Amino acid sequence: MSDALIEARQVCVTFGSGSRAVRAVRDVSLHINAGEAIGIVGESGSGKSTLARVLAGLQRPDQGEVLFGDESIYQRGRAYRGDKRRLVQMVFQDPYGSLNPRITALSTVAEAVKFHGEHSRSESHRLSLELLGQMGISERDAAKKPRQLSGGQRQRVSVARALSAHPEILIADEPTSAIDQSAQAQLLNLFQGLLGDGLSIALVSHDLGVIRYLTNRVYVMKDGAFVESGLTQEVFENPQHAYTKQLIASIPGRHLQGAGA
Amino acid sequence: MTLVEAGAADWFDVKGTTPKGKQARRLKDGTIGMIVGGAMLGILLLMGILVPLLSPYESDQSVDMPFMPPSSTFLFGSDGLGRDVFLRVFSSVYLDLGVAFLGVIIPFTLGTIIGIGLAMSRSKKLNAVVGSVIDGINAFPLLVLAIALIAILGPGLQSVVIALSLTNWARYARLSRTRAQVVKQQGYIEAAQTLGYSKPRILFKHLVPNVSSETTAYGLSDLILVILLIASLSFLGLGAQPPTPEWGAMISDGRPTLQMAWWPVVFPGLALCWAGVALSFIAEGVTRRERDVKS
Repeated sequence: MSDALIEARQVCVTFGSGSRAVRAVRDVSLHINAGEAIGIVGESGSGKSTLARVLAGLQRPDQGEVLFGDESIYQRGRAYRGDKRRLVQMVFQDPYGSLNPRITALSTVAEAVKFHGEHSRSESHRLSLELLGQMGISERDAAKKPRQLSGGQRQRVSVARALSAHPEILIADEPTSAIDQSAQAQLLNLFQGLLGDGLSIALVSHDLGVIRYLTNRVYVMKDGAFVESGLTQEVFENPQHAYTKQLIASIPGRHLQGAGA
Repeated sequence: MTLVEAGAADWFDVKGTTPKGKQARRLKDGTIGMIVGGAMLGILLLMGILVPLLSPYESDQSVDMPFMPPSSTFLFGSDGLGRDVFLRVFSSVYLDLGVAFLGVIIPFTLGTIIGIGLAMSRSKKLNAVVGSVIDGINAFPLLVLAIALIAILGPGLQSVVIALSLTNWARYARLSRTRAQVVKQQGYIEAAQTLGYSKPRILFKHLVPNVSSETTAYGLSDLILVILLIASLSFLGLGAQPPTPEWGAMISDGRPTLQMAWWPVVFPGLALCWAGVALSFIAEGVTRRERDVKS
């Protein structure tokens, strides 16, 4: 794939060693093209979060490599050297742990804006408020500490913080699983808008509804390996692998849709 | 009430509830306790300055007959050497609290640095070695270890501080290591890494404040224990030496003649209690406030 923005080749991650070793990710290859949204689905413990962390530069793989452009991101020392670091950002699953509890939403975002833009203090505050406003966070809520915000609001603050680095890829690890339905819809609409602006998104989820709504390609993961991949629509309409069939069959209310069609 | 409101507004976003609801909330979140504790400590510190300053006597000067009961001239009476107990009790404030403060802040700093360092280090060997030193020190009661060390160093308040620094850090190290291990896996630390923040920025702006907040709450309650420990050591003759006014030493001095005169023992004891209660109110408030930040 020449137009792939990021590409993982035969990535393996093993935790522990000896007889207790857990092979979280086994020989996985994937790519994400510019401006597209891919999904990674699988049940809990299938290794999808680990894979997301590998892509984000937080988990060094034991084997294989991750290429950003033509360059391997895990060179000696830290992952993503220089300016590349900011181009891949991540939104985490747990909205309660993803923001520093001691500083306000505004300070969290302003720190990132200031860091990446070399703005003055007042300028970065203005830009942060603007960014938070786009995420649907009012000026009033921006002045609050994380514990005073709802789960959905916290996730949107996390997105704002990630966007302040002007990334090309946003990796979202189960961003909707810990927040309520209406907040989920709000966040997904936000992602849809970002896709329209040219951002690439890798969405990790066990929620097939979310994957179907947002992504155009999907990878199905089981026990650390991909069992099936392809265009989201095709995979959903015509699953090949028994595990994928089982996953799709387990979507609540799906038989009702099927009866109507 | 204005004091209460000004304090609370800084600490909490108190929602517009009824005045009674507000009051209950403040009792629950420890605000009222912190104000009471702060006031008690403030009174003690103020008296610690004013009484020695305004008294015409020196703390080790005979001013009256020995064992004079409390009177309007000498509120707390006089001790076996005819010294003013009132003056001596309040002359001890800064010594007792100051030594205790040193005995907490030094181990606190050492322990926090060591604990966070261990949590950040990837070396299993280092963690195993320092970890067992920490567990070894923590396995002994603090008083026993402190006495053993003072036996080597020789009695005196300086030895007390050194002994405390050498032993008490292990508790802070264990606490901050555990906490740092939790904090470093939080999303905000990983997000800071993906944002490309420098290591010092991540460490000092995001990690350390979230680790030390927990140890601070512990440190405040530890301060009470350390005050009692210093008084205990002085009572045993290992800390402050006569004629230095110090609560534990004063209690020790008055003990043999307790049946004849209760005041040289009871008033320093009350001062100890007063300081302990004040600090525990503050510590409780800080702990509750910390719990609110985290939830």
